[in-house]
Amino acid sequence: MIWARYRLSRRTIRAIMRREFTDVLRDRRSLLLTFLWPISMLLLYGYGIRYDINNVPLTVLDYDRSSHSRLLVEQMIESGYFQLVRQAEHYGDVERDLITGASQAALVIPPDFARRLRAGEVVTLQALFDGTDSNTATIAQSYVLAMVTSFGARLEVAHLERQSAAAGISVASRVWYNPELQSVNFIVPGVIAVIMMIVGAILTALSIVKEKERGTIEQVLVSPIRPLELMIGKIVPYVLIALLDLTLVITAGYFVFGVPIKGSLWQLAVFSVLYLTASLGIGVFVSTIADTMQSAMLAAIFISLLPAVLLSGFVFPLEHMPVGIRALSYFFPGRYFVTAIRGIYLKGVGLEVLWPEALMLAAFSAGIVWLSASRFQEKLG
Amino acid sequence: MTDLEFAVDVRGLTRVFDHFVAVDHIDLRVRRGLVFGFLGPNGAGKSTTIRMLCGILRPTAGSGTVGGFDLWRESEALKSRLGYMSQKFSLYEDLTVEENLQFFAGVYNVHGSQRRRRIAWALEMAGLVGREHVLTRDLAAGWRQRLALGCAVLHEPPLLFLDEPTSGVDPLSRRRFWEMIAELSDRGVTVFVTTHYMDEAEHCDELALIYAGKVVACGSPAQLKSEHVPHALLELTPSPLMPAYAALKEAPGVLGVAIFGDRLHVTVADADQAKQDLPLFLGQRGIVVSKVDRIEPSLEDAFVAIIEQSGVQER
Repeated sequence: MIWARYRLSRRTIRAIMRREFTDVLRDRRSLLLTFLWPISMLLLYGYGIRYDINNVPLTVLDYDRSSHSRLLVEQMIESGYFQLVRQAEHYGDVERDLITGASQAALVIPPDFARRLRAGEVVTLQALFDGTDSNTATIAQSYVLAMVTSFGARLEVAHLERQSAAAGISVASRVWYNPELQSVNFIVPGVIAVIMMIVGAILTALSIVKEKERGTIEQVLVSPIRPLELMIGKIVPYVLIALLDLTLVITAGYFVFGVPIKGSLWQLAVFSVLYLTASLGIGVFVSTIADTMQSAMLAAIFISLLPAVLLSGFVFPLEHMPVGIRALSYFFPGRYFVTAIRGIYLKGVGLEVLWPEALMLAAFSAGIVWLSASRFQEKLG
Repeated sequence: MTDLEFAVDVRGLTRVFDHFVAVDHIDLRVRRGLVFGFLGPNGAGKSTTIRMLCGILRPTAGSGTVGGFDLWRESEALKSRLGYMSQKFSLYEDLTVEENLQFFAGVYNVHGSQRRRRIAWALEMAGLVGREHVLTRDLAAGWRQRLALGCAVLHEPPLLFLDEPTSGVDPLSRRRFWEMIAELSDRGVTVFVTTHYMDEAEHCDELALIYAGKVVACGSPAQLKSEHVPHALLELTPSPLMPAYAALKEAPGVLGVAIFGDRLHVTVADADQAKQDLPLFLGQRGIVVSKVDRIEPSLEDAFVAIIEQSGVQER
């Protein structure tokens, strides 16, 4: 008899699930939100946010006018990252170009450039950047550095070959994991994190609070349905939708943007399910604190979406955040998921490296599911 | 439940919200098989009471049984034996008529041939045959109420709670709805219905009046009228109204005066005497009386009297 209390009715759960599906499929807005939106978000972020840059307008002031200095400038232009705006005659031109915005970067080559290179001395070049667009400036800076270094290294190699003298030190820097520094490779995993949060947390919370707001929940609660049956019936449809969205984004990422998955698919699935559990937990939790759809939307955005965008490393690198904010990011599942999924996507690593993330995600999921389930039971039971 | 005398039998039922006592130690006994009307103005505590009886709201205090199940310990078992329909229209508006019926059949675990039979019955009863695929949102209010009632009784509950089922519905639909209630009652269903329409209260076998959280009277409509309005009642149409109201309060042989629209209901000891005296009495004070009739007391008269006698303060 005692087990009868815990036996769940499949029929009841099925009735709730069917209604939930009908609701999503019949409402054009929720249909857009669940299917069109993830894809448009991927396209928007994929084409819109670019961390890599091309054709940075560059002003060059070449005091040396030697073959070496011309070679350096040529190589920079040929790389495609820079576009020569002007060969300046005076330092004043450089300043004016940066102030007017005609150029975003400037390179000043000293008069004794070629001579000192040949003598094997250290040469200092001056590179100036327009810092008002700090993002471009930072990236352009790293490009200039990389190119000057590689120019120096090549010269050195040529030098060594000619003299076959003792080995010098050369700096060879290479970018790993994302060799073309393509931001879309970075973005697809981030988009997955955000979409799973939206479907898992926001849609689930809204679907429950909608019933509270319209009063239909009362009619359901007066029936012999158990809170657990109601919760399962409400959640399963969104799990399926989220998994469908996940597949959609991965496929679109692969075919539209050519983002391959280096790691294993099933590990990606394991992390996704863990993360999805966390976001569903957040969704149910929000539904127990909010009484109107509007407040549920706000609460869900604050608790789930914003951290998933801002504190996950998706848009802003976590290493560059102030300590306090970075500390905050440890309390949200986004950072673990984004770290893990990027690892799987780009580095091809798996649980042997990502187990701390897996553990943290599992712990977070277990905690939030326990919290929200007990609150749900208490509020509705 | 067949050998149960009272479908609802609770004592000292109380609910406090923060510091507001919504329902204040009420005792209710509803004989099985009756249509029991629970009357009171808005905010008197009708919905709070009904929600406690249905097990969706925990009482602050009180004890008793509903449908033979203990209010505290067996509320889960009770839930499969009762039907509930609330004033707030509580069907899924974005589902069709049939989908709503299917949904509630699923929730109440009505399945197989019984599901088909009950859904067909509900469609028939609500007059919705042929409209199975209409979106519920597109139905007129009267149809929706009938559909909601159909959904609430799919599982054939012996006890039915209706919380202001006819609010916001046109008079014709209201009458239709009460015919459905009568039909259910004929089949032996105990119906507990709240309302603030006096004409609806007349349809009930028994009534309880709740005012400011307290039950101030119980009994059949006839009982309430005869017990609380023992004297004769005259209806006067005086002009001007307010001076007549003030004057009659002081008139000899007058026990009570109440305003009903542009008329006065005057409680008197001797109807025939007063019918002659009162127009003269008012005429002396420059008030014209165009009409005087002896009337049967209505429930409204009874309730005005009950509330005055009870001494419960409005809140």
